[in-house]
Amino acid sequence: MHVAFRFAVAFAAAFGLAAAGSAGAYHTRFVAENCNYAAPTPTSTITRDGSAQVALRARYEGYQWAGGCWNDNDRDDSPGDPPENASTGGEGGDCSGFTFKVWRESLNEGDAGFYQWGMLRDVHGPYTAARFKSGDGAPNVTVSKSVLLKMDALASTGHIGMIYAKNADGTDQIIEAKGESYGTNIWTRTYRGDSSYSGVRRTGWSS
Amino acid sequence: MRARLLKVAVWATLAGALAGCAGEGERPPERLLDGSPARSLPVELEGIDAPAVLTRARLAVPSDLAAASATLSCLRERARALTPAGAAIERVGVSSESVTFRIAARASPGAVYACDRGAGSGEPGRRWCGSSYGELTGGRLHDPRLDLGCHGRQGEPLGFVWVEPAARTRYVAVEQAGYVEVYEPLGGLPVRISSSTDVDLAASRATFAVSEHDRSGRLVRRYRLEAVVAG
Repeated sequence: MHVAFRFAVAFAAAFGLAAAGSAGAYHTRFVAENCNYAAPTPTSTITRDGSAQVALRARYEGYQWAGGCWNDNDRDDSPGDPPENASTGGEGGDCSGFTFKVWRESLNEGDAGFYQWGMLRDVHGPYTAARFKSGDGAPNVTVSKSVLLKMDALASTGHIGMIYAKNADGTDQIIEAKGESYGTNIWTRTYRGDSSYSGVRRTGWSS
Repeated sequence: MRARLLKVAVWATLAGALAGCAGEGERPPERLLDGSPARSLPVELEGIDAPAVLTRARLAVPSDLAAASATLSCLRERARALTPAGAAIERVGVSSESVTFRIAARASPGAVYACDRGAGSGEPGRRWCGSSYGELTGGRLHDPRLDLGCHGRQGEPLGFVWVEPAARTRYVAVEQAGYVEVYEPLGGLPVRISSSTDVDLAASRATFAVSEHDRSGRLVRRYRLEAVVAG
């Protein structure tokens, strides 16, 4: 009885220590085990509908601060990552990394060409939401919110999402990487009527 | 005898050349980005061997901004929808300048915003090549908010981040190529620093070699700040 009790106490202590240790050094293995650093493929003809299809493959795949790598199994393979921690190695992009990849942009800000990045290519790109909002980079311009088209974006200093469809009531269906608790999905949003959001366009679409 | 003299002459020439090289390499930049003379530090910084250049920082009150002020151009060019809460900090370094201000909090927990500029950047009609936004929780940033949008004098990519100095820090020293750039904390805001020494555009990341010193120059802490573009 005594021995069993001691064993239980030791086991509980060991379990507690292990849990505390892993909480202090939290990370998932998603990026390390699945993602790559392959070069993108330059592409000449890009349509807005084609980019919508690129975006849809990231739907339900989660969110990772500073991330940009996902598969297409319609679930977050690293749920519950600590938010705003770039080293957690989880699945998904963040809002600006998702936009960069869907807009098929270059790591060279002076290059307005189109580059197809693989889903499992871990890339974020040079832009934050604040920089997209200012129209930074050769491919990007600010535009009036009244002329926004499908796959144009609405950006604030802290967030960016792309227009998947317009609703009749003036709101939009936005495809966006929203946050660790939300993942990447399409939601109805009122960003267009929010003065903190500006219209941003990736230039050069074929149609 | 002649051979020995020749040997001495060769060594003297070589030593002179090396001394000359070292002297050249250790001469700190004499001017800041705006052409003003670079100031030297009033104290020696512990553990810093490279020549040090003190950057310039000033508080800019939003209600009293000159037409050509950096803060006003930052607000007009990149931050129209934002209202500063309190004074902005304008910083001028050797290859870069920045403006940082706290944003009037529409909702807790508040945030800071920066405009960034590099010596080698610039499009017609645009002073600023980058900007950053950082949310504060308990007065602190989650993330240093790396901006890679600007370039230095030779076209080298610059990284900008905020650092949050320790309470007794009076000087933040940041390693540059051949010298150290020193920033003074001001206004209780995070300090916007820049460097080109370890910027990786392909990975959208940069590393900054930073040391913090107290008012007498004594080392408070030394660290490498690794930052990635996010959000």
